Amino acid sequence: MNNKKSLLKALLIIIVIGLIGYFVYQSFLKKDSDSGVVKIGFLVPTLENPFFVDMTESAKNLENEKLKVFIQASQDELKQNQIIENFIAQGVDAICIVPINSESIIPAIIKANNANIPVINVDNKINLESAKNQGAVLATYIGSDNFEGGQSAGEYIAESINEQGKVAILEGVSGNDAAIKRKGGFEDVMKRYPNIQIVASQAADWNRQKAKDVFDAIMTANPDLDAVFAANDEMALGVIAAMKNKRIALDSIIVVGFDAADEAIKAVELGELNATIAQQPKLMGAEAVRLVLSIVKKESVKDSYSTPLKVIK
Amino acid sequence: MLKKIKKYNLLVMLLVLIIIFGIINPAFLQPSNLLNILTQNSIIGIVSLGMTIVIIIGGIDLSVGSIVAFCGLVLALLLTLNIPLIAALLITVVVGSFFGLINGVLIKKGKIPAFIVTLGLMSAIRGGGLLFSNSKSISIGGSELNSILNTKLFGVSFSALIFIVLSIGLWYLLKKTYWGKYIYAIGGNEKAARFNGIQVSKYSIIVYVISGLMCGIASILLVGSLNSAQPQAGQLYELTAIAAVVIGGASLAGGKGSIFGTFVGVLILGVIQNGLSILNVPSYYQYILVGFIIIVSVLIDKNYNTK
Repeated sequence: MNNKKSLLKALLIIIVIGLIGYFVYQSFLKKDSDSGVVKIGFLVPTLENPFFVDMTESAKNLENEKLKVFIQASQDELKQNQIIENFIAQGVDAICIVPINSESIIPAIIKANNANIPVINVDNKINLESAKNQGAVLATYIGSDNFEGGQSAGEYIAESINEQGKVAILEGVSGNDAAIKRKGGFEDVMKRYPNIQIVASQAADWNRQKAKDVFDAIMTANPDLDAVFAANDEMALGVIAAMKNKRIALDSIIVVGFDAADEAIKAVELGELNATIAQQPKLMGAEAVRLVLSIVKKESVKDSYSTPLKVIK
Repeated sequence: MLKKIKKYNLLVMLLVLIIIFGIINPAFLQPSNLLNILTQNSIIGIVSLGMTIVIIIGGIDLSVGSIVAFCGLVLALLLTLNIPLIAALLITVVVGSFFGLINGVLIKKGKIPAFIVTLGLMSAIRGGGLLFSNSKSISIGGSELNSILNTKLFGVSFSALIFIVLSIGLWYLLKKTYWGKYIYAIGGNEKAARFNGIQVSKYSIIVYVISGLMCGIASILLVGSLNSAQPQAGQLYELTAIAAVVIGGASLAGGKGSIFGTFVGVLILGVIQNGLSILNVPSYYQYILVGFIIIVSVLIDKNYNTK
């Protein structure tokens, strides 16, 4: 029996070593001499969302012998900060951050500052006032102007419903900067049209399933709805799913999304979705890396850069 | 003897992981990184300590993540109201213990299974936190708390020290006091424990209160490290904590488990996460490896028990 136990123990250790050996093999393949190589840590909230996949892939595509990009993702505030600590321990030359929360990331930025690692804020904006108060410094910002995007969506919807009717908004995660800006830009345009009424505005947390449920409720309360602005494509696709479930003609309600994800563009082509606002995540990811290279070369950069938006209809 | 082998086994697993990660990327072995691992895992570690004694009595506490989030919000709110730090900290741990008390009373006096009670509280407390924070995070700005927790004694952060001190304290309680013996007795065979005159309800309720208390303390570290509190914080803490406890050799049937095992279990999970992250392995692999290690460690354990 004792033999059996030790056998199992040995087997176990072998399996663990084998698994890790696989990672060794992988990382030796990718191994490079450290000198003169610029290493970038790129932190995004999730790689389940095609938006961030596009962003990080375009950054990764710029990799060469002199440039390495490490991608990590987490939607948990604490884990995001820990990933940054790990990037610092790993000795990266710059960190690009898409924060999940515009406040809680600040202590981690301070740690990067202390290690003299420049931090580039991408997409979701870090709260600059808080950062300043706590002594955190950002090298630069790159992203699109979400407020402007919300405005484009508002103008498209106003035009499509002949400047009158009832509209609804599906918001992103409460308190999230992009969520606030997109909604703000949309409302800003709606104010200019006295005959358009916003009958509902609810958070569906960027989530398709949740948007479907929330929109179900909105439709029940407002059967005569004319248009809906979903602050991202996932939620817009949730809206369409809800309409299909209830067998409501897809052309009876104007649906506009945001992000121009592949699935949404296909839905626009099929005529299911009326329009989507295109941020350009690929451009953002690539620009972020180029900015890092400028910063590492000590070239001066502006405080903020914006990537353009367009309406896909 | 068997216990010793098990402890040894766990340490071997931890050391093997550390050595392998160190060989692949020497940056991993830097003392600052190793201490980082301890600091980063002190929050989930403290939650796991409470979970250990809950699991030893044959219970389960699924509400830990929600309690951490709720207590964090309470603390952040109190600090934004400029209440003295000490008072705010005390109120926070009292709130955590109170939730533990509700869990314990419902389970033992209400005779509802622990899984159901704590599942219910997990949802209710999460909802409560979202409600009173209006589902927004509460920022406390650059805080005293943050600088205290980042203070280092001999290179070890204050957060990590709290985790170590609590581990030693609970280890002492479990191994060196009658209280500890009762806890194991209740988990081993509740009826026999009751027959022997142990006040099963009282001791079980205290165990859940301690679990709540640990969540309160963990929330202090969480708020300190983020300078803010999030209503959605602490999600899946219950699963990570259970994983750490189980890797540490506890049995979900009760009567088995140790603080030492949990401590090493937490470090094993932490090392995997940090090591793979430093090796730039996508997080998907981390989940796979963690799942694998949970099952394997229980497999070894089972093998020892069935002789």
